[in-house]
Amino acid sequence: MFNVIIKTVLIYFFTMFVMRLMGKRQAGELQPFELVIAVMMAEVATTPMDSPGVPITYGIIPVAVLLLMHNAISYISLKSEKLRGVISGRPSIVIHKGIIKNEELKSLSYNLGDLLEQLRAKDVINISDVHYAVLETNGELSVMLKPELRPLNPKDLGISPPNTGFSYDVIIDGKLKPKNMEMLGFSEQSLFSLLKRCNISRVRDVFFATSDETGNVTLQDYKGNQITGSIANG
Amino acid sequence: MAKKITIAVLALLLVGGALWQNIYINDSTEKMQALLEPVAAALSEKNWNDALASAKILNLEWDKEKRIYGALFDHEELDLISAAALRLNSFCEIRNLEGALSEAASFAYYIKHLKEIDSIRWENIF
Repeated sequence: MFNVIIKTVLIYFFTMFVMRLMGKRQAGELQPFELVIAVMMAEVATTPMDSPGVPITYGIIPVAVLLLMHNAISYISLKSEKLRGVISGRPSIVIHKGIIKNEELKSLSYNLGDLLEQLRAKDVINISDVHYAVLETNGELSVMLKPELRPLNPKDLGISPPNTGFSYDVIIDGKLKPKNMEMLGFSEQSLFSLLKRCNISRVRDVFFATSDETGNVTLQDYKGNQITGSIANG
Repeated sequence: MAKKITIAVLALLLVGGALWQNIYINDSTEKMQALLEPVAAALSEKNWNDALASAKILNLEWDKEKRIYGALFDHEELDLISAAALRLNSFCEIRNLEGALSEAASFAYYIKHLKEIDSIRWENIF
């Protein structure tokens, strides 16, 4: 029994390590070759877990081989567009200028019901609202609405909203993140000054604090009090 | 960069490990087969003392090899070999020639089978 427990723990950590090496795409939307690898990995990794007589190498080695194959195929896909088309396929335009491409749907074995379902999942209830729809190689449907129906943006109204840049966590769970402060270009002292102005004496009293690139800070303490301020002139 | 190095190291370990295993299995199975020969020779001459002594040496060497084999093969395969070795020992003790010869043949077959499972062959792939 202990052997099964130990093997399970070891294989779990090894598989997790391999998934990390495979990159973030594994956790999100998968290309066909990645889906195959994910499914196979789940199968082979568990082989020694519940069989006391099967050595741990029977799980670890196939997982390692799958990692190497993943890297090899990813590299080939990166270098050769032609082979990328073979391995992952190509995106297909299924709605073109508002017209459903019936022949394309047939060639993809993708029926109208599937298309409508995917559109609803994208909050598009009326198919006539769609200008273009592209079925990606990972099975996702990318949708572009007709110009008169797409959401307005500031450019349409001739407005230039302020550029606040990216928002960084500066305090998480009572701990300061010095690297993020450095990325923002503000000193830690400016943050401490803000905390003092908000009657917060210690960083560890702050549940979280975020700052954008203009120094606008939003913070919340452990009592649920949320405060906004600025460290720009800090 | 660290990721590439890790993957390169993993690839080297995999290939290196496979090569090492191949060489090790070849050498150790040959060693076990060589250790079986004196047992078979002693049995053919009905020299029970020599047969038993050689069988005991075989068992001891097998117990050592089994530890490494345990990480490389399904334990069911290894259990068959262990059982054959023990039965060979027992048959030599009670001086049962047919039993001893039968177990010696079984042992030889299982050891050869281990080597075959590990080799790159059509039957092993398909």
